[in-house]
Amino acid sequence: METIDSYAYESCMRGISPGFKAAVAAGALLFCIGANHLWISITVLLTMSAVTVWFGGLPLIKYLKLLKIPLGFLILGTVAIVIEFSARPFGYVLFHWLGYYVCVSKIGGVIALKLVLKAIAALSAMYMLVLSTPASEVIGVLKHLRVPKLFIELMHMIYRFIFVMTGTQRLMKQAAVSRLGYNDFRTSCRSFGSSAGNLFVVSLKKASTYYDAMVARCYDGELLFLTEEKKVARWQIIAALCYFTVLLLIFLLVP
Amino acid sequence: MEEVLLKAEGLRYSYGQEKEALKGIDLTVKKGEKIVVLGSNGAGKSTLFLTLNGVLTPDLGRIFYREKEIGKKEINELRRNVGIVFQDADNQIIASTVFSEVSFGPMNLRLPKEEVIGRVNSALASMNLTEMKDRPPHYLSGGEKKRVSIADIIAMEPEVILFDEPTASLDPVNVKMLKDVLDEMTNLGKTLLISTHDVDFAFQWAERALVFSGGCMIADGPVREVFDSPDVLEEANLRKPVIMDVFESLVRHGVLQEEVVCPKDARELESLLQANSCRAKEIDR
Ligand SMILES: Nc1ncnc2c1ncn2[C@@H]1O[C@H](COP(=O)(O)OP(=O)(O)OP(=O)(O)O)[C@@H](O)[C@H]1O
Ligand SMILES: [Mg+2]
Repeated sequence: METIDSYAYESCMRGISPGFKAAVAAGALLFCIGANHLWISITVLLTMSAVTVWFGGLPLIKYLKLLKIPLGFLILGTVAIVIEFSARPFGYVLFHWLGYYVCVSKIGGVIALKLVLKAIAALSAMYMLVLSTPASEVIGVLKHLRVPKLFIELMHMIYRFIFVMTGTQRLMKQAAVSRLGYNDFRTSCRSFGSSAGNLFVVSLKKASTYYDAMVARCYDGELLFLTEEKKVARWQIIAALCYFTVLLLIFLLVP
Repeated sequence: MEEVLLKAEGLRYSYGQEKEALKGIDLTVKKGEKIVVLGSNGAGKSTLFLTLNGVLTPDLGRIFYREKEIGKKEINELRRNVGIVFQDADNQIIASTVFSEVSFGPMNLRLPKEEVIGRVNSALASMNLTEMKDRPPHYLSGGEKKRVSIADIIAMEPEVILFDEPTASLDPVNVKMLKDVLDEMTNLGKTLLISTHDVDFAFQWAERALVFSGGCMIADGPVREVFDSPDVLEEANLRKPVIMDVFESLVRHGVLQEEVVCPKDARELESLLQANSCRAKEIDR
């Protein structure tokens, strides 16, 4: 199964401290949004993608595929900004109908371009984080940021349960397929319905056996795990500082 | 010294309103014993383990740990000293990397961090999992998960360990490794109870066998005696270990004398036969 999570586990940047990666990603994201500057966006987009693909070792094709979906939404969303209706023609007129003109203004186009680039750059910064850091480590970072314990424990459990449930679902589906349960539309509907119902019962049962297993290991209300700390190397800090200095210079010097 | 660790008196347990899963079990476990728990599906082995660890509270009956009766307050002490490896590893694993999973138990014991790290690393090493310590459990195979669930308990270093069908879903190499781990734990003075359907494994490893049938304990004694009584085997859906059958044939055909005790595995049988043929040659001369 190929998911963002599995890419994160295979990433070559897993050894880098998750806190450091989160700080760089958040820094780049905030810079990008705060500066609202075309060249900053372009630089962040290119550098973050390069880091993910080169250092992280994610194949470019897979990376582009991951960008494709949000990009589609962005473009659809900005159409509303670019296209204007008016009684008089201006900019580039696309077509007119019943006395109304549908046009694209030059300013609108520039704004839209900037917006799309900014959003996609911010996205690439976040992708840098999630494609190199498994969710459990991201949760660890949030824990250090003093997010309430309840949320942290819930996130841990939900994360683990997503895989338990999808695993169970997959097994049930395979068992049904092998017994011709997904043969045609009607059997598919019936199989899907009963496996969904079954999944609900199974998840209730699992919840109780999980609780038993946790209690058996002296669980007393607080979910405690030890995670291995990953050290930040000095060259990494220097590299990050250089990166943000370059961004700052671009912001100050490039109009 | 025969020190009694765990004692149960008249344990009864039923799930909800249904028929009883345990119908009055009396059991004494001494320090350092190697006990195998046998019985057909649904005989109540897993239920017994869960009550002995304190996860399920018996409807009736009492549990003692080191002479101390276990009430509500002492239950955590029981859980600390009696570890249980669950039948289905998927129901036991909660953390999202192997390392933090194994750290869960020791962390709950509120040990200092260095101690936790040390214990986790040695538990991982003994279950052959060191290379997988950063892997998430959901990308492991069934047998690997089983090994993680065993390492979970080893890291807690309890005095008594209950294994619920540890050999199911392990390949032969890992069964061998598990046996080595079990021997090592016995050498460390741990007390082990294993439930299994693998009679050959049971015969080879255990000293004492408990046989369950329909929620009752129908036999309790040295493994050889238990496997020698046809009634017990019949009632509990068991069969004789292969090595015993082979041994009996050899005795019947006069290859071996009846006085020798049945060997535990093929290697012991081989050396027995070798000794036998040496003696035969000497007599010939
Ligand atoms: N969670 C549960 N809810 C209701 N009944 C249960 C539950 N778990 C077990 N039982 C019943 O209790 C009885 C004993 O079950 P137990 O799991 O202890 O058997 P077992 O000896 O471990 O069997 P197996 O060899 O199949 O693991 C069975 O009749 C079973 O149907
Ligand atoms: Mg069982």
